[in-house]
Order: sequence, then C-alpha cells, then structure tokens
Amino acid sequence: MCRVLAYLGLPTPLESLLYATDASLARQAYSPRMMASFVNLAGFGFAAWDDATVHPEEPFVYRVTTLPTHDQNLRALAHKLVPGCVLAHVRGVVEGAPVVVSQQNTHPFRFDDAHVALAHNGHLREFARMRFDLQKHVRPELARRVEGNTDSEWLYVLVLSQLRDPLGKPSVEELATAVVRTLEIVRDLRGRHGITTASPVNLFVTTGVSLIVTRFSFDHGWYPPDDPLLELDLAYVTLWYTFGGEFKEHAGDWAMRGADVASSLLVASEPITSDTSTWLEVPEYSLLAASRGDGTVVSELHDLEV
Amino acid sequence: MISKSEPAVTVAAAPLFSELPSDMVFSISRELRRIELAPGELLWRQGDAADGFHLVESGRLAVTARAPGEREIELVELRSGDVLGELPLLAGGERSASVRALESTSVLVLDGARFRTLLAALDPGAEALRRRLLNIVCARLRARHARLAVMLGDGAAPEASGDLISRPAPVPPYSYLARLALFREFGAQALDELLAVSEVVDIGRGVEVCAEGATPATCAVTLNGALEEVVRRGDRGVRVRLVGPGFATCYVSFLDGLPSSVVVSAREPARLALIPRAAFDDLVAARALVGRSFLEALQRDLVNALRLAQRPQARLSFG
Repeated sequence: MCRVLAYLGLPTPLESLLYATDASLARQAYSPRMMASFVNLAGFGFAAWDDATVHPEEPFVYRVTTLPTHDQNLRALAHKLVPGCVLAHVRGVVEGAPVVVSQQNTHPFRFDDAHVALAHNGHLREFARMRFDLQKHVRPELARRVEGNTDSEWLYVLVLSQLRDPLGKPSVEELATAVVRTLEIVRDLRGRHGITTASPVNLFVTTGVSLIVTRFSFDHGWYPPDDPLLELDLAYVTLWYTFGGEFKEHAGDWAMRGADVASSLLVASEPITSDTSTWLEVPEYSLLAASRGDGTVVSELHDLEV
Repeated sequence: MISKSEPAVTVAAAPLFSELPSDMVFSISRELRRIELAPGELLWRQGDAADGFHLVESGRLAVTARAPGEREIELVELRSGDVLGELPLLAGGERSASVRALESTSVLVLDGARFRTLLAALDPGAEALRRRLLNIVCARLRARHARLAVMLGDGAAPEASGDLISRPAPVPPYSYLARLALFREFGAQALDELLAVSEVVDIGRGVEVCAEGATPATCAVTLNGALEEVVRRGDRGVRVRLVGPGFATCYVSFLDGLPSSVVVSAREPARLALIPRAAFDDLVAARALVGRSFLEALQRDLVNALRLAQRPQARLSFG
C-alpha cells in the first residue's frame, strides 16, 4: 500500500507538490493521514514531464529506496524542476513481510522507450496464484522486460499490452480503454482461480499529456483471516482531486488558485494539504480521465463497472 | 443591539424546537452558553474540528464554503432563530463551511460533550432533540436524493426486482466485528445481543436488498462485501453511497416512516446482518446499553451518508 500523486496542467514547481505543503507527499511517507497505522518507507519515485526541456516527451525519472524527507539530491532536483505533468509515489509494504525493497520495485514503472508510465496504490491479494496465467495476456517482448517482482509492474505491462502500440503515445480514450480492459482481465483471472479477497487497484497511468486514474477494488470487504492489511482495507482506499488555475501558496495557505478556466488538475491518494476544503473525493468504482493542451485541462469522471 | 433575553425565549421560538414540550425546551435551554461576536468575527473556519450545536439569538451570520479553484461560495445567511452545526452534534467531524458575523451577533451554544452526557443520563430533552435532529438529517438526505433524481431526467424510477434472495451464513468472529465502524463502541455482550435479533445471510452480486419506493423489511448491516445505494431514473443513475463493512443501510425508513428514496443492492457479494423492523424498533426504543450504542452508531452512519451523498457523483448507465 502506498501514496501516489499525479499532476497535470500549467508548469508548477515540483517542490510545491513533494515538499512545500503541510501534508506533502514526502510527509505522507512517514505520516499519512488516511491510512490506519501504516507508513510508506519502502521507496520513492517520480516521472516529471517538462515541455521546456529537450525531448519534452521523455520525463525525468527518479526512483530510489531512500526516504524523500532525507534525500538531498531529490530536494535539489525538486527545487529546480517545473514540470507540466508529474507522477510521484511513495511505496508502503507491511513491516516484517517477505517483500523485496529495491529500486526495481519502486514506482512509477516506465520502460525507457515507452510513453506510458504507471503507479499503483493497492495490492492484488493472492497474486502469486494468478501470476503465470496473467503472463499469457502480456506481450512476450514486454514480459521479458519485467525487472522487479511486484504485482504493480505486471499491471503495467498488462496495460501496455492492451494498447495498439505498447510503446506509442495513446490518446486519453485509448488509454482509458486499456486500463478498463486490464481490470477486466484481472477480474476474469481472479474468477478462474477462485480469488475472492479484497484487492484495491487505484491506478495512475499517464503519458505526460493524458492521465487515467482509477478508484477501484475487487471484492471490497472480504479479507483472509488474520490479515495484516485488514485495518487498511476496511475502508475503501482513498482518492482525492482538486483543480483550478495554479497550485500556489497565499498567506501560508496552499490551494488551486484562479477559477475561470481549469488549467491544472491534482489527483492524490490523500490531499497534500491538511485543509481539505478545496479537495473533492473521487467516488468508489470510478475512473477519472484527463488531458491537457492549450493551457487547459479537460477531465471527466466515469463509473467503472468491471 | 444584542439581546440579553433568557435563552429559553430564543429556544422556544426556534422552529427546531417547535415540536418539543415546553419542559424539554426549558431543560435544553439551561445547558446553553452564549458567545458574542463582533462584526466580521469568525465563529469557525471550514475544516475546523466540529463539536456542538449553535442557535442564533440575534444578529446575522454568513455561511461560506471554499471550492476548488479559489472559489468561495456563499451558502446562506442566518438570522435569529436559525440553527447551525446540527450534524456535528450527532457525529462530530469537520466544519463543512466557514461562518462569520455580518454584524454584532449573539449565538447560543450546546457543547457536544454536554449533549452526550445528557444522552448518557437519559435526559428526555436531549433525547427529544436527538430524534428531531435525526429527522432533519433524514429529510436532507431525501431532499438530496430527490435533487439527484431530477438531474437524471424524466426516466421512470426502477421497479422492485422481487424477494431478497439470500442464504444463511456464519457469524464472523468477534475479533473481526469489533473492528468495524458500527460496532467499535460495542462490548462483546452488546454485540451478542444485537446479533441475537439479527439474521446473518450471504447475498450475491447485484441482488436487490430494497427497492426505491418500498418500505424495507429489515435494516441491513454489512459485515463483509459491499452494498450500494443508487438513485436511478430510466437507464441512468448515480451511486450515492457505498455501504462497506461496518456500515448500515435501509434504516432511514424506520426512523422517519417514509419509503426508501434509493435502490439498495449488492455491489460486491455481501454478508449482512439483517435486523427486522420490530427488533430494530425495540432496540432503539429501549434504554438498554445495546440500543443506545446502536442508535449512536446509526446517527454517525446517517450523517456520513448525508456527507457522501453531497459529493460529486459519477453517472451510471444501465442496459
């Protein structure tokens, strides 16, 4: 379980999103507000697209197993970067669980020659039982490139495998269809293997221009006995968003400023400000689709019936 | 000019208290304290921890809420006799709007802690106020559902799909149930008493628990899985609430006597504790600990339902 943040809109300092606010993503690593007794200390990563740089379609990518609060390189980088799209993630794993903490397992996942990046907030319970069948739905040339051992990286290559060109730059519609198809495949595989335990799949998928975010869970409300993640999953995994002109500070108060045209969208597992009054909750079983262009961001909320 | 009249005069004149006997109005009014605000002074800020109920004695207050994009929405202006903060009195939480005095204003306050103490002492005035507040929340929830139904167009409301198809199921262990929101304040004995009057069943995905317009036969508490409350017109609808483990549904009709304003069905396969109407009425009417714990849990559940119904909703398509 993790915390994720996605930003799409006018160029904004990365520092504003990762560090500046009183419930920033860096703080959510050790002090999340909407995760019962859980912390996210198993790695940090981001992909950030800056239109003003060379090769603007390629993001800056940074993935480490150190804590963002103590990472001076990251602070320095965040102080300089002003991207128009960001996907950032702090990874949480159960204390003492046999989980590999490594750079290969940090999010977001993105092959160097791909346009799509993915981060996941959630976990597929009993993934090992369905993993080899899932592989049959992944293009072999993508399956060979999986480096880590997380369920999330397999979801990444499964999403890519649903695209006409897995390494191309899909439209927001094609990306949404690929995400929905991915969830349908997982639903089908779970059914075939008799997996009926809660598995939250809040996915954040972006090309730097288009963004798809889901708030979804398979079999919400069913847990194995003595489940270490029970407290966490009793409530549906959270997802919030806010939109406006620019994400800026005024008199110590960070919020989206400017109301005429939605130029920026910020979606996060939980608000990055402790004052949540300008944030809205994404409903359960929903898909948020957004794209940016000409200084505006267009977004739609869809029901996710999988 | 700030009125210095007895609080009982203001309380008796407020519509909220109009149906309460005068002795109960008097007993409640003795518990109120007065706050005086200068023009422009904030009573509270949106997002502040909420606790307590306020009654405007004199003056005027503006209620405003922030929205994404630096928008400030003026919701309402309050005057003498108007009340605010009713929901936090039932369920705590955060202030959903900011309140500022437009002129010199006097406000009477009933603290949440004092209200809970009165309820624990079975004070009839506090109990009557709680029932009145519950009816107000039920009415607001129904009004919200009605507004959503209008937004969905002129399609027909769905018809009932027939009897509830269920099969008996084992009761989950106490160690699990005690962690669910509805039962968190229950002891083992109170939980046993509640389960003794309940039927624990499993239902499949999509099975309807209660139709819109019908009077439910049971209150349903989700133990595993999830139900959903949907407002539907024709082939369009909105899910106003997901009812996951530790939340309850189908009880609003038991509180206010009106038919269900939503369709309730299983979004996931679900294990439910079904509490029949007669047992429900006995529970909340009795002064035993189990009934009081249950009613307090339900009032939190009801306020949560209203908050969820007021958030933006994704459209559903049927057929």
